[in-house]
Amino acid sequence: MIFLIRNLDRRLRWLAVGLVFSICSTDAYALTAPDSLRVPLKVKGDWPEYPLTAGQKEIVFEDTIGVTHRIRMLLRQDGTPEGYVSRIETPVCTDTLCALADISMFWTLAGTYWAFDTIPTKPLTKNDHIKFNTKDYDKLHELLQDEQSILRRRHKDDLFDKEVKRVSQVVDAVTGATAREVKEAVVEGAVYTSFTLYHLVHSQLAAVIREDAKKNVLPVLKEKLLRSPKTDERIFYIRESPEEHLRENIGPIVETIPVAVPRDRLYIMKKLPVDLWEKEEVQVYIARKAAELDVHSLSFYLNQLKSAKTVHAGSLRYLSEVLDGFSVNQLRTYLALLEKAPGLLKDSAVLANIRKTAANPGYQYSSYLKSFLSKQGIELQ
Amino acid sequence: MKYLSTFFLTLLSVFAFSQSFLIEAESFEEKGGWYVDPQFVEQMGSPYLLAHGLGEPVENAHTTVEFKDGGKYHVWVRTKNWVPGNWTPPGRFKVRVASQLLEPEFGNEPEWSWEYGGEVDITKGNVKLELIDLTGFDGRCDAIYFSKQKQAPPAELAELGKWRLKVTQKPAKPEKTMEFDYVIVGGGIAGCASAIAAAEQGLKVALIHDRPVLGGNASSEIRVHTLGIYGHFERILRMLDTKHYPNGSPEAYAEDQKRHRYMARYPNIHLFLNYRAYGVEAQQNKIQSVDASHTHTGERIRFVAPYFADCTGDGWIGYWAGAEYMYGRESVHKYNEGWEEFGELWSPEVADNVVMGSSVLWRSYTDDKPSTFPDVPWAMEVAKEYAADQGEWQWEYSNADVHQIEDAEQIRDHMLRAIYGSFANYKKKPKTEKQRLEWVSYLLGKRESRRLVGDYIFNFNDAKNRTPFPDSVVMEIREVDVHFQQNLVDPEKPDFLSKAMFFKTGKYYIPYRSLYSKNISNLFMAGRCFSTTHVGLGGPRVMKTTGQMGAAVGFAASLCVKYKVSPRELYQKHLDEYMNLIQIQKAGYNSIFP
Repeated sequence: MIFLIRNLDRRLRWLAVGLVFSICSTDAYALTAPDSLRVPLKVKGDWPEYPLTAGQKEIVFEDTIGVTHRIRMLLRQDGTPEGYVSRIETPVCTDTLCALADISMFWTLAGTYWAFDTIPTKPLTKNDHIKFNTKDYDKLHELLQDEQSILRRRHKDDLFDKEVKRVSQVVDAVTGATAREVKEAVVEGAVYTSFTLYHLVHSQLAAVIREDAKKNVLPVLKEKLLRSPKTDERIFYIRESPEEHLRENIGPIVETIPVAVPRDRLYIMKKLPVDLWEKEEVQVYIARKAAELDVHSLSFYLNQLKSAKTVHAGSLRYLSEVLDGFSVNQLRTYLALLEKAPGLLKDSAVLANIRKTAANPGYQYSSYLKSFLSKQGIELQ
Repeated sequence: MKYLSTFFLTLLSVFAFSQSFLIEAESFEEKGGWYVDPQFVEQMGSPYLLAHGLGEPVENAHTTVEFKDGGKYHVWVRTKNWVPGNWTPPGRFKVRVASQLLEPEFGNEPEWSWEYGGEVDITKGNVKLELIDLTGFDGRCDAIYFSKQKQAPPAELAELGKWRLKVTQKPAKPEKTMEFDYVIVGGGIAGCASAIAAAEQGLKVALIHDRPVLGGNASSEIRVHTLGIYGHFERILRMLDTKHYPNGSPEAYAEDQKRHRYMARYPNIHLFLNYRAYGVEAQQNKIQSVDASHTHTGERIRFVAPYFADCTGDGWIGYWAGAEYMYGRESVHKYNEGWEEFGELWSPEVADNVVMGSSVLWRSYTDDKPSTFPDVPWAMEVAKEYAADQGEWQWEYSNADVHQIEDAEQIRDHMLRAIYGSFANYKKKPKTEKQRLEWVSYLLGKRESRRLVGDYIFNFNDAKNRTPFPDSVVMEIREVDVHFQQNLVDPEKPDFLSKAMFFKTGKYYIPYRSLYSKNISNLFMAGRCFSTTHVGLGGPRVMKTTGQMGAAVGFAASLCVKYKVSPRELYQKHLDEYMNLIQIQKAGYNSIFP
């Protein structure tokens, strides 16, 4: 089936994917297709202006406490997948103090959190059945956007500080700190709701979605993923694609670097085959975006240049414009690169930028530049 | 008597070379409020004096120098502006020679260099030198040089090292040689445990440590509490561990005292405090001796022994001897160490040079009266808007730009900026008038650096699968706990804060084969520089576990001495006896040293 879809005209592919999901559909639950969904209450990034519907096909998944979840694809009218959606109806604590959480949750095609929406007449509730207010929903959204929340690293039993009543100097600060961190991360008065939803969204259901996306989305929506406005979808493509795909799509892949978070920037740069680092378009594009890079990525990039057989003049030229943001090690690496390309020291743009940075009293390491110029026999002015 | 001996040592450290004198600041007779900082000798050339006054100028340091010849001398001061930028340098100080206050303020140049202090008139005889701190913000002075010629000493490090030997007329070989059965370098919990274990088996042990107090990261100078289990060595480790107080707690002082009290009860442990190893003699992959220098006086000793233990944390002894070592994160594929939950943060697809970072712990307290904290514009680029009144383990710095050994001073200084800036922000909040800085460590609490390669490389799967080894000498139940910098996933977060990832396991084991060098035939290692992968280190890097490693190699050393075999041969030929010796340690764990 996938083979057939791959061979279809690009415009027809998305339609075919939607069709496949429709054919496979066996049940309709809660999110009634084909009515278009309303814009969710909270959205990370943008929500499309065009209408989306929940597909008919369900992925049925039973979580670790035995609750069955049904996940569907979010589809455009032409059947193009845009993400996933599931109405989550789950108990959140072991006693009767809290009501079931009932909420619609949305993921991107990469299985990362995208949005949530309340169910009409079924607001989320806190301890003692107090309804969530606007700030509570904001906090829940903030929590769900935090991929590395403390909740990810804690078990349900560790949420409360068992030592909280100890007030002496010898209170276990680690435990105390953890409890404080948990408190800051969750919706006040809704620790278990926060914890349960967080783990469903980021762990259990996310894993199921990613598996489905690998099978059903990746093979047919390469272009869409690679040029997605959602960075996580681009990273998903890069992570799951073989080297030859990276080579074929080097442009959009390199363009993802400045818009990704530092962890993913490093990941992309490390994943690029060594020989691609020789390419001018790779070196120069990243140099052009150097001001947007973080310390981790910029250092990695400079070290890649150091290892490259050829360093393209354009990259050193662009880098010279942002020297005043360099750490001392980055500056040393840059100057070492320049020493290998002495011709560039005659480049008026490079020279002007170095002189300007060397004369900048606000730049911590201007003296390195001054001594570099002096060593090269070049006047500061 | 004490005064006379320190005076004598001071004179020893003042070296006449023709018409020039080099005075090492760390050898000053009275340090006042300045601290001797030997952490970065390998990078900048010497221990130095640090005016770590938390924003209040520290008491002057002074010493007396005998000038055999009077006249006009040019003066240079080796120092550094530790935060160059568009502000007045934070670590400024002045120098007084006899009654003459040198005109310049020192601490202006961005790299370690000789700053010229002008010309002074010296009267023959004893002359008082004084360092006058102006800020309390970590001014630093390495040395002062007097010369009748106006020629600055060399700036470049290698050249400076040679010049130092020449100007001080020191021979290449240490003046003194001492022989032992077993030499341990590094007096953290691992080194101390190793010393006790070996001493209890009758070895004559040298324990070399570059600080005035034992304990390493657990000492009152760094104040990390000990975590982990005791394994087979509860009796030994209870002499060395700490209570589970908050990291940074002054309760660490009591634990220092306990540790020193117990160590002093072993007459065959020869403790060399304030000695920092600086090199080894090795032939045919065997270490003959370790050379160490006193961090204050510069006195040098050559330590000769058949067996050595590298408990330096940074793996210096192995590194100097040519031992194979690792640094950075292995590819996830190399040892199959992946954990999908955290992906790249846990173990990267492609190996890299990033490791867990170093911490600088700190705390403040509520005083009886209000106080102000100085403006610290030079700190705000790091702290930004972040405000805090204390710093726990999360205050950690690492990234792809810095090396935990080569850039250690930069890392420490970055953390100081983070701390001072965050506290300055905190003080701008309402109701903080009475909050004062109480303590900020100036020593890095390192988590990870070089790891020496042994016959076995412990890895994540050994913890996850609880791999049984015939030579399991260390055990642990603590989670595998690997850190990452928060700004890797959220660029808005400060670059000096980390998060931890915990992988829960059952009890797991570390084999003896991870505790001796693969290619240096008489070198043991214990502590964070043992043979492990980056992820493998996540669990056993805490100090009760590293203490177990130390004890295990101390007992191993005793059997190596007994049979005159290498650490590897002990495993090959005497494993049963060794494991019996390890096992019986558990029997008497309730009876701490009498």
